[in-house]
Amino acid sequence: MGPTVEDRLEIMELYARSLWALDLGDADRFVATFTPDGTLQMRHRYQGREDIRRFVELFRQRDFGFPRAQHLLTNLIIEAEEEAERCHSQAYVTRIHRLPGQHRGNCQIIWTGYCTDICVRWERSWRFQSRTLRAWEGDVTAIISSAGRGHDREAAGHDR
Amino acid sequence: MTDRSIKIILGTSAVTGRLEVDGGMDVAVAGPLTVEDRLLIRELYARYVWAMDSGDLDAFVDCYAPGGRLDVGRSATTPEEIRNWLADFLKDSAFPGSQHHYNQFVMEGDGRSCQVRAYWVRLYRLPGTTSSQIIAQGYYTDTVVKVDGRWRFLIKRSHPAHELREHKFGQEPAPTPPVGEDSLYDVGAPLF
Repeated sequence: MGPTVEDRLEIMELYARSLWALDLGDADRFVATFTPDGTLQMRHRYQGREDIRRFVELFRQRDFGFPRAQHLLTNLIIEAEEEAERCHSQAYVTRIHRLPGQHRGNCQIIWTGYCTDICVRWERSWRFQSRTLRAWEGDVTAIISSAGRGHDREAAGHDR
Repeated sequence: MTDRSIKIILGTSAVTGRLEVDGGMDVAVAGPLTVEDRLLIRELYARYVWAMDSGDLDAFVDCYAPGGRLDVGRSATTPEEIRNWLADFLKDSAFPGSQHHYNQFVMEGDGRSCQVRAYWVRLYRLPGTTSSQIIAQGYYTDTVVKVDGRWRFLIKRSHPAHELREHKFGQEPAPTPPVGEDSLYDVGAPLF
């Protein structure tokens, strides 16, 4: 049996809260989306809330896209484990950066990747027990053979 | 069917009851499209593009109902043709590195069959960089059906974005799946 409607909606909102907090550099709210022993794996691994807080502070101080970037989350899949209060989830993650100014075309996609996470119910709310964010390359697309690439998609009749 | 004895077995929800006819076959009653249906249909789209963009042919074909049809560039009407369609599409120069994103879902239907339209955008991650570009956009007009309790595509049809101006939503009435022992779907014939 999969997660309930309420669980799915709560987990969707957990992602929203997490990305709002990250894009605003709000360490308290970002950390609150994790369990106390939660882990965040990006280029480096952060274990526990204090370590994750350190990541947000570094992100706010040093990341080239901050503060004019937004993360978008799409194609979310949520699967429950046998244990009802634990789910695996995965989604596409896109980061869009807005350049200064009001002119058209000032937004660029600066990162595309995906996340594979474990959510658990902790103190009556869904939280991340682990999060892993990776770029859209490497293992995830390894199945796609490089043989035959270079095929012109218009010649193949596809516009998509 | 009206001549046959019908036993109504109510499920957990008044709108998702099931019928058991003489032969012992269960068919879902077509209740309204629920919130859960809507979430699961969105997840079908997520599974579909995860399969497509990561090159998982089996998972891609599994998103289609028996008799499912794909009309994107060229038509594919059997599981083998659908598999070959993706194998061919993956030769596109923007693979690997493409991601498809869906949003603006509009769903109209009931608990057994639903018409869906949604925007899609295709991004391509430029090799050697972290950046991506939008390389295509458009929209789908699809029909999804519930088979064995799972939503799957019966018809998938892609359109370029410019057709939006012409209001070519391309939707047709969902075909009525067969009812009876040969049925592959949770068809839910009218109760009476």
